[in-house]
Amino acid sequence: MRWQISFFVSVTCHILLLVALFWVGFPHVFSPIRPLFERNIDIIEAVAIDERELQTELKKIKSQKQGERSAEKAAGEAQKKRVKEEKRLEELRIERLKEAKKLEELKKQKQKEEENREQRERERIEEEKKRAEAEKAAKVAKESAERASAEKTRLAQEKVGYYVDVIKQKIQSHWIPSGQNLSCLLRIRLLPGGSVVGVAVIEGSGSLAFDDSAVRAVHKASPLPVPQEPELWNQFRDFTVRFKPQ
Amino acid sequence: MKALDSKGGGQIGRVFYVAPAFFAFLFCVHLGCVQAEITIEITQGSDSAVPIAILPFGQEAPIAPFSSVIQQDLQRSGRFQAVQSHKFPEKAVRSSELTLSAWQNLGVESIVVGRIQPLSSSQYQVIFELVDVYKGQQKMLPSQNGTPDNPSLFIQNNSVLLAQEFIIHASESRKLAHQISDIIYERLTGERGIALTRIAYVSVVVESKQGSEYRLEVADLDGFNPRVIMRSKKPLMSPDWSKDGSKIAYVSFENGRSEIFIQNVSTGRREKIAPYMGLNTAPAWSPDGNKLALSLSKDGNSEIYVLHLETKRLERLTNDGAIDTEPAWAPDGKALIFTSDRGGEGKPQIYQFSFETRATKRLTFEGDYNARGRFTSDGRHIIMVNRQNGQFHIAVQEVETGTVFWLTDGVFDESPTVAPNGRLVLYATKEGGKGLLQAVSVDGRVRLRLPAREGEIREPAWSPFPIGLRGKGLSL
Repeated sequence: MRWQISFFVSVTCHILLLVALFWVGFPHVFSPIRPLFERNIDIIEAVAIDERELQTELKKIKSQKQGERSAEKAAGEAQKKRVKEEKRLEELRIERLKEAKKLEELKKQKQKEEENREQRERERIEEEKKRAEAEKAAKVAKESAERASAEKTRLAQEKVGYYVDVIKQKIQSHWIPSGQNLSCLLRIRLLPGGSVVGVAVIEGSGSLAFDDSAVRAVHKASPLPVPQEPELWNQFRDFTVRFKPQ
Repeated sequence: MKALDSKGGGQIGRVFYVAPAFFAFLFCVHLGCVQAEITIEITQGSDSAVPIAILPFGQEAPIAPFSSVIQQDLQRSGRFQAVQSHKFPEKAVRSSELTLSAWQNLGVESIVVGRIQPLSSSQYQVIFELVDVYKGQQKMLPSQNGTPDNPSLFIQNNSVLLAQEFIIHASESRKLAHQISDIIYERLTGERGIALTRIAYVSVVVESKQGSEYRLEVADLDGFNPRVIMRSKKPLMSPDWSKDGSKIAYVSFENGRSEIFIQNVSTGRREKIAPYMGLNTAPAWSPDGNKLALSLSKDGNSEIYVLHLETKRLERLTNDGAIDTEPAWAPDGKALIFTSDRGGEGKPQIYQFSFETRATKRLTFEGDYNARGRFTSDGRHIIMVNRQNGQFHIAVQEVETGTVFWLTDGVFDESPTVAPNGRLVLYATKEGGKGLLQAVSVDGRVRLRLPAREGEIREPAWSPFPIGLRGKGLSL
């Protein structure tokens, strides 16, 4: 092995020398312009430099060899280190993955929460909307109920007004007034169907003839036209009539 | 933000207080509908006459036909329509015998029943009842909830409105019949009747040999019992009743010129009260009966004077160059109306003289001839003769507004005289060249002709309300 090393070293040195020669001398050889003089000096100097360079080179090689050995050693260590590193990296990667996964989960959770929140918000809005609609509907219903009841009241009043008119007409057609510029008030009680069952003078005119003529008119007009509907009829059960010729 | 919060919270709260309020409102409306008292206003009636049935009085044969006299009286008033006797569903001489429903079906409002009992050869007891066909049917009825609320309001009313008894002499039977007519009329219309009033008028009977005879007559309104209180070969004019109905003032030409006499209707005693130079015309008794307004020309031309009957003092009211005549008193005696052509000869108008201001103002402006004005008893209208297109009509003018309505459409209607109740106007008209009397209601709705009399009738004068026979009310 020893000679091998020496042989390897000598070969290397020769190679190095050859390289050095080419690198220093050849440009002169192949350069016709360059003067010879210069070429000579160069050679001498080159020899001297070669020696020194060789020494340094040797040292260099030595140290290189040494370095190579340490490098091998270092490589091994590095290998180990790298494996270790790789292992650590792997672990890190796994850890990071884990972390990512965790993050992902967190994110998912967050998203889910967000979604939930949104859902709740939507629901809330929906509910709000529904409530508003319900309120509106209630309001509309109330208004329409009010309208309906007002309409009903109006209709009832209209109907009452109609019967007041026809009763008035019927009594007037039967009344032959006894006197002018007089006024009396009668209270009239009717049976369902309009038959007059009671007439009373509650406010006399001062003239018997006038009051009597009014009472007679009511009796003659009997039965009076009255509504059938119970709630309307109730108003005609008992009412007053003012006789006041104009 | 606070407001918003409270608003949000208030939403519920409002529902809570709005809802009850709303229902309370509905409830009130409902209650209001139920409890609001309906009052119906009757502002006009029918113009028609009141349908009435006058049943034959029991045992009336020996004296006046009460029921037919009453029927004609009421019919003549224009306010009643007497149902013909052949339609009567039953006979009755007292109210208790009546079946009111049967009469209701006939459309009758009132029934008169009566009976006559001879007390001696010349004395009779007369009883009559006036029955309201509808009034008797009222019954007390408990109200719906069982309690008779205000039962006094609905007690049974007696259907008999009047029941009276009279003891009379046979000769008074017609008078009593008229009086009963007036009692019924007043009870049913609220106004005094005029069936018992009389009229004075001048009749001209042409006697070919000796010329015409002028008679001052007094008769019942229905033409019965005419009595001549003054006869003359010379014209008699312008009779006017004293306010107590005992005397008549009139113009007589018996002495060749117009003089004014006052004559007692029952005794015939008379007195010349205006023997002045010139024309003495148109006497008119004052409402208090103490004065006589007249038209005298003693001072040149006809002017209006007032003669104070007790003192015989003459008071001159007008003084102008025109003819002033036909004075008539306002019912309150505070003014006179008279006819004057001071506005243009041949264009007489009616003027009013006020005793308070002693001023004279023109009242009539419708047409170029308005004369012989007479106040109605309420003083609100003037009845007069109005000429339109050469024809003379009786017209009525509302004093307050000056509005004029024609009451008649004759060619020569004149001398209107107003019934003491102010309802009818009696006037003279000509038909077939003959003068006769007609009557028209002041509202123009009723027109009737009085029974024909002998001769030509002119210048009617309606008596005041006479005094009736004494009767006794019977308990109903």
